Amino acid sequence: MGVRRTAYDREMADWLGNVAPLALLCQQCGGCAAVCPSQRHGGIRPAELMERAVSGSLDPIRESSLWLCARCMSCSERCPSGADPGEVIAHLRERAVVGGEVPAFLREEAQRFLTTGLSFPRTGMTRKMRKELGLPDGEVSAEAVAEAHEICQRTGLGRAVHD
Amino acid sequence: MTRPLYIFPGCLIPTRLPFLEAASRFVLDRMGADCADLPGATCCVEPIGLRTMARETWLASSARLLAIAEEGGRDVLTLCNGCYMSLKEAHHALEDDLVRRRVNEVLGGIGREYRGEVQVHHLPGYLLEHEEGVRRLITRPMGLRLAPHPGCHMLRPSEVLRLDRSFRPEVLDKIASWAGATVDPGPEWPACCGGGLAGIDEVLSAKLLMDSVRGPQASKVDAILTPCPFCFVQFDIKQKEGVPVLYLAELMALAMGASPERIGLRYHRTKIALPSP
Repeated sequence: MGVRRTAYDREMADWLGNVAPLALLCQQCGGCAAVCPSQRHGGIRPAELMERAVSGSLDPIRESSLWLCARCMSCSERCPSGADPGEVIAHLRERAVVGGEVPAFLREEAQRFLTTGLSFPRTGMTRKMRKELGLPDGEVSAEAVAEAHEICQRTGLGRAVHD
Repeated sequence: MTRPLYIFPGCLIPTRLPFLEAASRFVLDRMGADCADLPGATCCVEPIGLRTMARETWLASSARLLAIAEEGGRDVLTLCNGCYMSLKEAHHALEDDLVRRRVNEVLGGIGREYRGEVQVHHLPGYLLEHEEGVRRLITRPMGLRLAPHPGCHMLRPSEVLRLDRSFRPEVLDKIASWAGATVDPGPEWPACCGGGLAGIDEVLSAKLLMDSVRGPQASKVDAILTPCPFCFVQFDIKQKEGVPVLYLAELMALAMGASPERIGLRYHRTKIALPSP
């Protein structure tokens, strides 16, 4: 199949050149596509995304397939050009996040990190199991949560989930 | 000699799978490792979803954890592939003076600084480095046949993680053999369990999981062996084929004489049949 090159977006290509200059090394060999476990089942298409990203014909906010990457890093490991598709996809996601597009599951996870310092919830079951196993309670201290929260406010995740 | 350690269990293990923490602590205790809990620990910034939402948040949050370890004069030991990738990649990125300066400006806001004087270890790597000590502690060789599942972030990106090779990895096989287990040859390019897509696309996630279970199911192993709690959840809870799973520290703890009760094997959803002692 061919790659569509509509809506050429210079600004997007410049941005990508700044945040992921290695992306421009992509030679379209397709090595990433061959090894991607998601593409095998109709998920993300790394080689195609690389081409569209560097040619500026991709809008991260509308490209829902960005979120179908399992981040197995096989693409980047196999890439013979050092173009690092896995990291380019991460950068594209971040661009989507800035544009307000985040899957609900991840927005919830981000909010949990901001408020509890953890990505997974501590539940009654957690406490019960820890007690039965003779493990320390393992609560995240209020100071640690406050520090993590402050970092989020200064670095982007805070903005991403508060809009 | 390895420096003293801070155990960093992450958040999936302490919240949902504390029995894996119990097994890890048992093994480290038997090995006589000088371990303490990392003070002020938070999530490493989960590297599959959260980190991709805000790279700088991940970098600064991981740097904060490394800075705390540095202050305490101990290295970090992770029990989870995700934590290992997060912290090891951050450690690598922070070797660049410009990046470290930029991140330290953020850390300055919470009164911390990272200088770059701490190392990050992952449990399988730690065991590998202490082969003689581990072998000496095996009192109950586990005559199990296992299928190795290293999990993506024990291996890739290999030039940063530097724990095992990404093509035909061998570290799990080696360690399991010390515990008396037989390890089937795994796939040359180890599969992804699909855990990174759970919650986002369950159908796709299940297909990836099926891809990684097909081999172990066909060869009728006693269990899948993994050092990663995310993979563990996929195999133990999401998998429909009924192949049991063992976390690496569980295998080692059992082989070092831990009773199944002590390390909470009863919490496995897919029950595993152990050879009689």
